[in-house]
Amino acid sequence: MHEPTNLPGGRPKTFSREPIGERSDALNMRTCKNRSTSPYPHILRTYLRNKMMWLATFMLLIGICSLVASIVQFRTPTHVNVISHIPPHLDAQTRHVWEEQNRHLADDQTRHAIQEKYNHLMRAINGAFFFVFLLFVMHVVLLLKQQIASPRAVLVPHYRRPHLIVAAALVLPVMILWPLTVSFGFSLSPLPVFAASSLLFTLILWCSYLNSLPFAVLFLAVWFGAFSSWGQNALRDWFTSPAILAPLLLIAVACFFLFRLVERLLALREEMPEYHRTTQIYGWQAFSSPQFSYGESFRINYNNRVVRFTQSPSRRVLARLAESRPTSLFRQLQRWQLGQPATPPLFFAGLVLMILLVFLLISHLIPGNTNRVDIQIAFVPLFFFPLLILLSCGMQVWRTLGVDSLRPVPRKNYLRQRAAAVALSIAQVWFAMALTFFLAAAVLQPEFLATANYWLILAATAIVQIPIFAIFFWFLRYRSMVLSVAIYMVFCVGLPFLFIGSSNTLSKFLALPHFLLLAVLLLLASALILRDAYRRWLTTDLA
Amino acid sequence: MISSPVIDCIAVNKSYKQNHVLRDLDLSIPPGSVVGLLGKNAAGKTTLLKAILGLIRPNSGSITTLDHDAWNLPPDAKARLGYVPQLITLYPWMKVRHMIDYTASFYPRWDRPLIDRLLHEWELPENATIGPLSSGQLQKLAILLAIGHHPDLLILDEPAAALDPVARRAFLATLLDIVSDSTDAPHTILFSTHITADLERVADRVAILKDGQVVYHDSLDTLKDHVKRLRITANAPLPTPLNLPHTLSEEISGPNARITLRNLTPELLARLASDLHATIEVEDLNLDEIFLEFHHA
Repeated sequence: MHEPTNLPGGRPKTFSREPIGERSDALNMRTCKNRSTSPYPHILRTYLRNKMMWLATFMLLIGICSLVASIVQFRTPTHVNVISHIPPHLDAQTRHVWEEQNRHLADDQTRHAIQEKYNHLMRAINGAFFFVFLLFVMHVVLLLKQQIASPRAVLVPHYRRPHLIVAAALVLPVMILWPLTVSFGFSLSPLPVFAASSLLFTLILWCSYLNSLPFAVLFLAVWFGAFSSWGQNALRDWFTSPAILAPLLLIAVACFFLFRLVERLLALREEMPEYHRTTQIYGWQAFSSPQFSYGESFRINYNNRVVRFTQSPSRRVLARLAESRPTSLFRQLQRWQLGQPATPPLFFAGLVLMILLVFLLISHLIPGNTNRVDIQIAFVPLFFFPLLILLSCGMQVWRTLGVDSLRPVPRKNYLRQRAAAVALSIAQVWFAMALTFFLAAAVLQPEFLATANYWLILAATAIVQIPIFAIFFWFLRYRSMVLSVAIYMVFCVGLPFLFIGSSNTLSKFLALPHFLLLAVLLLLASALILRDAYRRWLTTDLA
Repeated sequence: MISSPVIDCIAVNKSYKQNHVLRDLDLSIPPGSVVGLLGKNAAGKTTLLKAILGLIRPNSGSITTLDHDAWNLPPDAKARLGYVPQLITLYPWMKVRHMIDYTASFYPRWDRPLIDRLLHEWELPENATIGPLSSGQLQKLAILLAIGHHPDLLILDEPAAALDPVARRAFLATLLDIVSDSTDAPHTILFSTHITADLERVADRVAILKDGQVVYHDSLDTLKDHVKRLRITANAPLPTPLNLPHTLSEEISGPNARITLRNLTPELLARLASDLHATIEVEDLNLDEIFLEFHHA
């Protein structure tokens, strides 16, 4: 737009009115105040527009539906009638005594009801149902952290409080309603349920806020511990206990840490170490834009020693590269592996080893502990941990895919080698973990190695990686973070949990002929998907 | 002997959904030239450079880079290419020397002494982790990685945007060294920039991109010779508009006018003076002003 100017010599003046973009300015409290509008709808909109939140909310809805269905199934008139005769608070020992005493009296229906009561309960509290509730609050905190860990939080007046209030309005109902629903739905003691869930929710909130590896390991250790028979018995006893003081104490502890978290968020500044550990994927970047670079999607503190340790490339491979150019395919794949953010198998093997040590070894070393952790639990992470590499590559592979494609390698070979390098990483991690579990089983539970189940489950964990890799490879072309996470959640976490969770299904599945048939079908399907994915990748823009 | 162009774009179109970034774009760059690519934000510069490198595929048209189809560059052509992207994409978990070793392993004729010398001259810490490097240091490193194998075609997307004046001067000197060091084959450089002073210092040709098309591509001297601003002072009010050929901008206020023409010839100047009964001053423009005139700013 030109304004008339006096000639000669004058420069045309240009006036432009910048439209107040809702995307960038949604959080500008000053703007909101000038317009005399509340900032809360604007902040809420940032959650509503976030595709990762869509995914988390979708999974939360599935979790709620599953929980409600479980409760409805549990509270049929017959069940309620039978359960009402069961003593209300049963720890493992008194339940066993009660069952023994009533063996001659209790009919099949009663025994079935008792079994059902605990089965439903355990599925609800530590199965995939609870996981999605945790996932939801985790997403809210990650997005909140991303909003707070920015210069805006310091410079824009009245910025933090409304953001915290909106996040609390999303998180607190989940944190309160879940234990209430579960305790009343399954006739449990409300206070212990509330205490346990508050602690777990607080732990995941802190983990999401700190975004650091040790806390993630701690959370995973607690989480996997809850799946073990040891953890399940402990939880069952705790949830049916009439205790009041201990739960109140735990709730107080959870509240204390929640307030500390709020304090920390209100005071978050650039000099604090966790400031830089944000995951920008929960922001507003247009991931679907072809010109978007994933380089902007992460802010990682590379001064952090743990990060440096886990991501430092192999010195051995680098030293060899410095000496001579790789000629064999394996060496070339090793070179591409250097460009992957989650290469070192040591990282994953170490992570799993730590988890194992936390709950597996402890359970075996506690004197007089009869409820030892079953080694089978180790297979759960073996299903999905190696595939975490896919997720991290899915997030960051686009960062360098274009520039690396300019290396003097034909496009076809380049695509094949990059995919093969990721597959090699998965295979290496799987092998390292399988070896770790084998050794753990050999020491702690050698009789398990003699069962056919051990070897079949082990083979299943290996075979499952191939179709998931193929599916991921196919969808990666869409450079969609949400799609990557969704695929990972569905295929890598959801299915193995369902698979492992049902022992009946597992034993049927593990019949050798069925197993072999399914394995062949999966491998065939994987080959077809990979072939199609490769053909599509050949025509995909790499930058 | 007429050598074939290093880059030859013919009727190239590229669009992302409804956004037409490149429209029937033609561009031919002869070997041995240093071409500065100018254009406003979102004019399509980065898209064009990526298409030339074969990183993205045009919807229609053809692009030939180093005598090969850009989309299917063979390894020997890729080995003659160097590229510095606008957004530096290196591996943040590597150290500087690791990144250099990693990149060097792909190229048979990697010049380690050159890189070692430039590392020292540009004050890049060899043992620093890449993640925490400043954007200027990252840009320096990216430039080193792009020139270590003496590419015949060097493509740089706003390479000096994050460099301080000292580093920028050193970088431009390095570019000039590369061009002058044409022992085996002529080196061609194509770079996009918003810093027109840099372009004037090193480029011998300039291409101006506007709305997805190359609206001007010729030598820098020709551009400066042809684009002139006229200050017209007449005795009577001037007609509006004047409708002169190749007008880039025109501002008329009574008997005064300021007109920028793209292709001013002595004949046109003489005719104008006689027709309008006016005195006409001809002004030279620097590249910055020419760019503004091309975009009617």
